[in-house]
Amino acid sequence: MAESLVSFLSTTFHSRRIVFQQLHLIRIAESAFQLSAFSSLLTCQDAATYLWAACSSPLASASSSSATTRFHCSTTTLTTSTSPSATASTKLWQSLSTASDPRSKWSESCFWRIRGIYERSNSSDGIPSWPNSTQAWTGVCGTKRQRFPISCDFAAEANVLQFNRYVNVSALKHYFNVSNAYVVNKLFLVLFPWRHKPWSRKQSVGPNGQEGWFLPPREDLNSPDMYIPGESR
Amino acid sequence: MAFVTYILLSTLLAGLRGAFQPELLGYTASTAFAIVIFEILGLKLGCYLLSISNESQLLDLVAYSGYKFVGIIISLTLSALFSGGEGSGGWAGWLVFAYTFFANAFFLVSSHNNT
Repeated sequence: MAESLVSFLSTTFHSRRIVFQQLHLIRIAESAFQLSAFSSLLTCQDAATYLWAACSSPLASASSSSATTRFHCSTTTLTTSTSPSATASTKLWQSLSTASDPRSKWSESCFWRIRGIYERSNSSDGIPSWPNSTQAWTGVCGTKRQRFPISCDFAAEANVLQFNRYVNVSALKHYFNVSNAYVVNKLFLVLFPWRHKPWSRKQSVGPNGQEGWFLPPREDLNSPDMYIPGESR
Repeated sequence: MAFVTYILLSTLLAGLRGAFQPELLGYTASTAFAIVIFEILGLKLGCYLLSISNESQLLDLVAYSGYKFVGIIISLTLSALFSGGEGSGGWAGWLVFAYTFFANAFFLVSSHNNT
């Protein structure tokens, strides 16, 4: 019974678990990136896509510095594998842009995605920037616009927008604003409601001295919440 | 919390009786969800018939209709403990169920009296 329960749970939460285990994903992406950099630049795009998905997820900031250093390692691997004699990465970019190989299109888009990771991580999360050679590398091509975001995040964003349309999310967050003391007291109140005295909900005082909105469950025991009834709804 | 806990607990009790199937999780979840939706629809119908306009209270109704799962969990657990895992019948199970029933009814009436 326990085995089937575990297998059920693992199949149910498989996708979510992959999204949330950042370090694991970054390791996978790193290995894929190195593999593709060594074999061919053609499949580099897939690796960059995975890596971008790993870095742009909200939990990536927790493991930001290690991810950045690892990513820097993989990009240097890319540099040395494609043009081993070049010391500066500018030569890599020139060789990529002037190559007549049809694969240069792929590598170019891959390059802009990498730059997008760099800019995004630098701007939003305060992730420490890359070393100087890499900064010079990105500084060469600072005029071109990046192509973002990648299509793998479109579905999630569309789902969020669809959810926002039907459910008032800010009103829903009010019901989940609970504390530990509230949960314990509320459970006791549901099971033993006989001696409870004031049942009226508290209201906050507005700026004019009038009664404003209802207080959240964290500050009012009589307020209804949705954490105790069920997080899933 | 209580909704999910109820589903897992009822499946766990079924497993202790030796009647576990993986479909039981989805079956229990859909049954409980259908009951909650049916209850809210009945409440909305009553509000419509009595011409009570409560647009902003729908989430309150959803929240209050979920508190009964706490009583369900308590009665399931205690009756299983008293009967040694042999179903939720017996006088102890019905006694605990009656207590949680009346406690929940009192809680709901008092809450809605003074909101």
